[in-house]
Amino acid sequence: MSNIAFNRLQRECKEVVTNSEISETGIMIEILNENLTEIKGHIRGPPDTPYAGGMFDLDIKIPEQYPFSPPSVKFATKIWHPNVSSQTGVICLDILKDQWAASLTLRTVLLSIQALMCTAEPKDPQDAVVAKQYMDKPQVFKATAEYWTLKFAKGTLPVNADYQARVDKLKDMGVREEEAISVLSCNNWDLNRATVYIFS
Amino acid sequence: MEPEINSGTSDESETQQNMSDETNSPEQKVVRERKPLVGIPLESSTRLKIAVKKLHVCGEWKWLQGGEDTCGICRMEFESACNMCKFPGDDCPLVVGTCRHAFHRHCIEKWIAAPSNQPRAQCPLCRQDWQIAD
Repeated sequence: MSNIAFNRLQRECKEVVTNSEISETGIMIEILNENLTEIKGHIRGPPDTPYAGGMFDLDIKIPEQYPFSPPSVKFATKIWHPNVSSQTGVICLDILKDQWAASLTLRTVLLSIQALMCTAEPKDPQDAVVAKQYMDKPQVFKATAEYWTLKFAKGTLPVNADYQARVDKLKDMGVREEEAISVLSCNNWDLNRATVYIFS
Repeated sequence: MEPEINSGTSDESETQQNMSDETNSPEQKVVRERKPLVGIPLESSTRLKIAVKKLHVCGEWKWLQGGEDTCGICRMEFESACNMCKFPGDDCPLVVGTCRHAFHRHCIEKWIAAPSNQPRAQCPLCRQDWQIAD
């Protein structure tokens, strides 16, 4: 990694760590290797969203040209959100692509992602299935996102017994839990359609 | 300023002035016969006669355009060198855009040259078209 990237990242890490950020905004970073090319980000699910109570991990990779090129950031924790791939965790956010600026930092990137969790952009989706559900069936979207937060992000909401029963049915048929949740979510929790999708 | 002070009671052979009641000792006479060092006598309310032999002068400088901020690209203080330079100062000057945002010249040049900024570069802070102010 270039000198400028390393020096700047050192300052950025301090910036996040010393700002008592975790208590105020719920963002945190964790350094994975000494040359700072791989960093783990953590975002606490914002209150009054389906992600409240969850803790979301992100994989951050720093390119050689940083900060003249954006870091690559994706969710490591599965999340149900129109602008995040429910399969891969890839995030659709302009500042991580063409709207990147050298003045942006890990801190501002994580805060932007947290803001995206508060306000989805379904018209510029990363996951079209999620975005369609978000627009057509907002209640189902909310319940699904809450269920995912509970299941994958150590959320604290009570489990949706109805959804859990359907997941358990697929599990009884030998389907892995993660796949069962994913396929049911993509099919608006229609057990028949999910079963057909998996077994055909 | 940190003047190095030699008091008259010192037994260093270079000492130029001594307290008057000690001038009779033979040792001190030897000292007096030497060529006195050029020193600046200081006014003093004590009986000591003090001569400043050496001054270490420290200066502080600041870029006029920079204000209190750090460079938004490398995050270093404007008065320290950018991460690509060893020494601050004329080799690593500031430039100010028409938007009034200032950066190390090397930092903003590197940002403008980044592939994502072609053909027109924007200020990394306010996204206005970047142009160096006169």
